[in-house]
Parts: sequence; structure tokens; C-alpha cells
Amino acid sequence: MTILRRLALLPLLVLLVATVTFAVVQAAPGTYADTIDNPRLTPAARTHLKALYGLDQGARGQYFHWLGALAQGDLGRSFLFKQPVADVIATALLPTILLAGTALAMDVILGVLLALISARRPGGWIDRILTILSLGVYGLPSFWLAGLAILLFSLTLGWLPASHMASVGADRWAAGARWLDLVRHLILPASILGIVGAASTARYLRASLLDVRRSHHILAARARGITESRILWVHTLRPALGPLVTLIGLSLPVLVGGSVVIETIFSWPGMGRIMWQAAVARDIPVVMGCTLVGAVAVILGSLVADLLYAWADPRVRPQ
Amino acid sequence: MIARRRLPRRLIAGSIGLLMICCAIILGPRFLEPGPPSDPAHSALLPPGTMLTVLELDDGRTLVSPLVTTVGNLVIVDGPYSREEIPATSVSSRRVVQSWLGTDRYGRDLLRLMLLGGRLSLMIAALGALVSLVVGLAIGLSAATGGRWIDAVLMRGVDAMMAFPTLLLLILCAAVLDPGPATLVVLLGLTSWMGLARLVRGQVLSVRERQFVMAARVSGTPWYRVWSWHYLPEIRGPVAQDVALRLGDLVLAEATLSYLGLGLPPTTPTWGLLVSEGHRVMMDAWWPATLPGLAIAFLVICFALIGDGIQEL
Repeated sequence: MTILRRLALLPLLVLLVATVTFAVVQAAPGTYADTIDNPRLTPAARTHLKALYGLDQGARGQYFHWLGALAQGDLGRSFLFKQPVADVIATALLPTILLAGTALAMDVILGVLLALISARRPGGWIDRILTILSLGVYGLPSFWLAGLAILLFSLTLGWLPASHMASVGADRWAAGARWLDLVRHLILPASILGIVGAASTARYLRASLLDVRRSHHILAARARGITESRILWVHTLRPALGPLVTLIGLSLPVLVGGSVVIETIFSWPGMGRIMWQAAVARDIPVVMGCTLVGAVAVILGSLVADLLYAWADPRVRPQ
Repeated sequence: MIARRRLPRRLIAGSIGLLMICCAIILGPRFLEPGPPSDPAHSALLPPGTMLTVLELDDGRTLVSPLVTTVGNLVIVDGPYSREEIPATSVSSRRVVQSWLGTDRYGRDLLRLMLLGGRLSLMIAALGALVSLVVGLAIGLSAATGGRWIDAVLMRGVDAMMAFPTLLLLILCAAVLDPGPATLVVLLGLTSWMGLARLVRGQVLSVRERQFVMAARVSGTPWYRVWSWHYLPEIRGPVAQDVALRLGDLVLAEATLSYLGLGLPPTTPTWGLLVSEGHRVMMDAWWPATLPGLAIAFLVICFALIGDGIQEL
């Protein structure tokens, strides 16, 4: 029931977000026609371009035109990429999902493992080292880590490529070599996103694990003679997973929104980079399309988070 | 008798770290004055700890170089990009300074840049957190106490705000508005208050059902007294923790925006901007990118420690 009601609210929220975004883009000085940096473009041709892209219609006219097209399932054409927006987003979505999905998997696996190791013996030296390490990584800006990683692994050691998804000419290679090439390109950006994420996941989960350890059912379990490792993995981990699951659900939008910084630094052809390029070039249709996709992802993400929370914690399940 | 609880160690460590940074950025530039002026031709990209000779000439120019030799009547100033020979008579003053953290590619002293940039980074984060605190408190409290309709409208508003891809919004706004510290403060503040609003609303909703609040309300206590006596003390702890963690987030957010070139104009040396400048010369020198990055991390860690400590209180 609640799910249905929230799904019904989704179009309304998305429309609200889209409208505000449209207003912000419209308020930005200059249009796409003004950002074209071609000295041979005469003022007359510029005006003609504006008319061609419908940029001379005024904010309200453009808004309703866009809205009308959206109602028919048409996101419009990108000024910058000279393609339908739907195609631009479709090509950018897959690389982003690949990158963010790998990163999220690393984040969760590494984070949970580190937290469990820490919580085995809180206050012990392993715990201390891990706590300091995760705190240190948590504070480091990801763009700084990315620069360092490129310097070390790409420029100095030459082990891994520093940008893009594939090597030049890789499309003529055999399938196996292409996959290997993709993985090699994926390692650096995904590990940086994953490790930075794992640091905060571990910090967060360790705190909730220690919280749960103090509760009565752990004492009861210990009194019944259940082994320490079973107490940790089953009786402590599951109650502590609730908030973590929310955190993961809330980070789902990154899967489609992409990480602008990492994608920009590594020239990863994903959503974040597209958004960034479109915003700089005032490519309104793409900006609007990306915002729509992003907003839907955020709302669905928080819905999924709540559902997962209910799965992990029976107390919040609706009767 | 109530036993005095010891302050959590994390809170103490974080506060000391923060205090150290504050002292450094407030007092530091004064001690470095007059620091080595920049001289890109002779002192670009010098490693940390280099001793620099500062020569002031009669014609008003200032030369800074690690390699100054006097041969007879001639002073020879060497540098990576140029070499000058100056008659010793035209040198009006000569002193030696140490560049503790080296110089950037414009020959500017990195330590000095970082101290000045730290002022900006910290101030922007602090004011941004203040904006987000005020907005978050106002929205959260009104939603919790204003009745069903106000609550529903405000909380849907929070949902909508959270549905924005924040960085995209920041990029767009940075393109619309004049770049400047004030713009950045407002932007960072207005895109980060939602979590706090939810937190405050939840806390107040749970407190208002407690008996002492009920008792206060039915006995006709004015609303402002109910707020200041009962709601605020109850939400103080979680809010303080949230603000401390938010401060760290805002330092990172500001650094990220500056790194992307969306924050402040390139002449203002915020830490994010220094890292991005440093990345351009990464192959030749490690310090211009590494050291400001570590400074960011140190500040964020201090805020995280304070936040953790408050939770332990």
C-alpha cells in the first residue's frame, strides 16, 4: 500500500525536480548557440541556429514544448552530441552502471569484511589499525586519490591505463582480449570509488555492530553457549545490517548518476561525464534528460532502501 | 552525586587537531610575512625545505631563487627557466628564507598558499554548515510542530530536494551565479540541509509524545518555552553530531567543486584548487598536489573525530 502511494507520488516529484532544473538552466547566461566557439560563425548564422534549436521561443515556450514532447515519450535531441537524448543516455548508462556497480560491490564486500574483523575484538590492535586506516581514507578527497593512483600505477609503473574504457584499436581485437582490456581500464576508477566508499561503510557498520553487541540478545546467545563466530556473523550482523542497507539503497542513484569527478578524471564515458559536458555547453535537452533519470533513480533508490530495511529488520514491516 | 564523565578521546583529539589548524591559518600568514614573493622564472616547483635567496633590486623588482652566486661584482641568479646577471650595486637588500613546503609552478610558496586557502575552505564550510543548520532546524521544527498539512508539504519538499542530483545542481548554479565565496556558502548550505531537517523532525516527534512535554503543554506553557526547554535540549546531541560530520562533508564538497573549476576564481588558492593545479605538474613534482590533499584529509578527519566523540558523549 505504502509502496503504491509512493510510486504514485513519483511522477509528481519528478515533474517538480524537472521544472526547477529547467528554471535553473534557463537562468544560466548564454544558450548553446552562444557556447559554440567557431570564429567563422556569423551573428546571422548564430541567430538562425537559435531559431533552429527553438532557443528563441522564451523560457515558457521552451518549457511547454519540452513537456509536450516528454508526454509523448520523447526526450528531444541533444544539441551537443547531435543524437536523440534517449540514445545519448542509453550509451552512457551502461558504462556508468558497470563502473558504479563494480565500485558498489567492492564497497559493500570490503566494508562489511573490515567491520567484521574490527568487531571481533574491539579495541584490539587489528581494530585500531583498521579504524585509523578507514578514518584516513574517509577523509581523503577521491580526486586526490585518483591523481595519486594515476601517477603511481599509470605514469610511473605503467601497469594500468589511466583513461577511457578501451585501448585505441581494441574494437578489432578478439573478444577475450577486449574483455581483459575493459577490466584493466575498470580497475583504477572502480577501486578508488570502492575503497573510498568502503572506508565509510566500515566506519558506519563497525559502530552499529558494537552497538548491537551491547544488547541483551547477544548476552543471552552467549549464555546459551553459541560460538563467538556464530554470534558475530548471525546474531550481531543481521540487526546491524538494517541501517547499512538503507545507506546502500541511498547510494543506488550513483549507479545511474555516475560520479562526476571520477568519470571526468578517468575520461570514463558515463552519465556523470555527459551531464558535466552538457551543463557546460548549455545542452538543455541532455541536462533535463539526465536530471529526470537521476531523480527517478534517487526516488526509487530510497524506496528500495526502505524495502530492504523492512527485509533486514522485521520490526518495521507493515502489519 | 553525579560522577563526572571523562570526555571521549576522539572528541579531544579532533578538537586539538581543529584548534591546531585554526591557529595555523589565523596566525600562520602573519609569521610568514614577509614571505617569499613569487618569481616564476627562478623559483617554480622547488621541493619542500629549499632555502631561497630573496633579492630586492633598485628598480623595484624582486628576484627569488635557490641558486644565487656572487662572482666579483656580479650577482648571478639561476633558475629553471632563466638566468640573470645583475651588478651587485643594484641589489638593495638580500635575505634568505626557507620554503618549508616548496613552491608551486608559479613560484608561490606552498605553505603560504595553503594557509591562505585553508582560511577560505574552513570559512566556506563553516558558514555553509551554518546555513544548512538554520534551514534544517527551521524546516524540521516547523514540520514536526506545524500540523499534518504543513508536515506533509514540507517533508515532500525535502524528498524533492533529495531527489536532485546535487552535483548537477551545483554545476548549474555555479554556471548561473557569479562565482564567489558567498555564492558557494549559499549553494553548499542549501543543498545539504535535508538530512538535518529529517533528523530534527524525527527527534521532536518522538519527544513530543513524552509525558513531561505533554504535561508542559497542557499546563499552558508558552510554545517558545516548550521549544527552548524541552525540544532543543533533546535534539542538541544528534544535531551537534550531524553538524560536525556535515562540516567534513562540506570541506570535501567545496574542494571537489574547486577541483572541477566551479568554486572560486583561480586566483583564490582554496585547497581543492591547489590540488587541481598540482595535478597539472604531477609528473615533475609531487608536493603541489599531495600536500593540499593531505591538508583536506586532516581537516575532514578532525571533524569526523569530533562527530564520533559527540556521539560517545
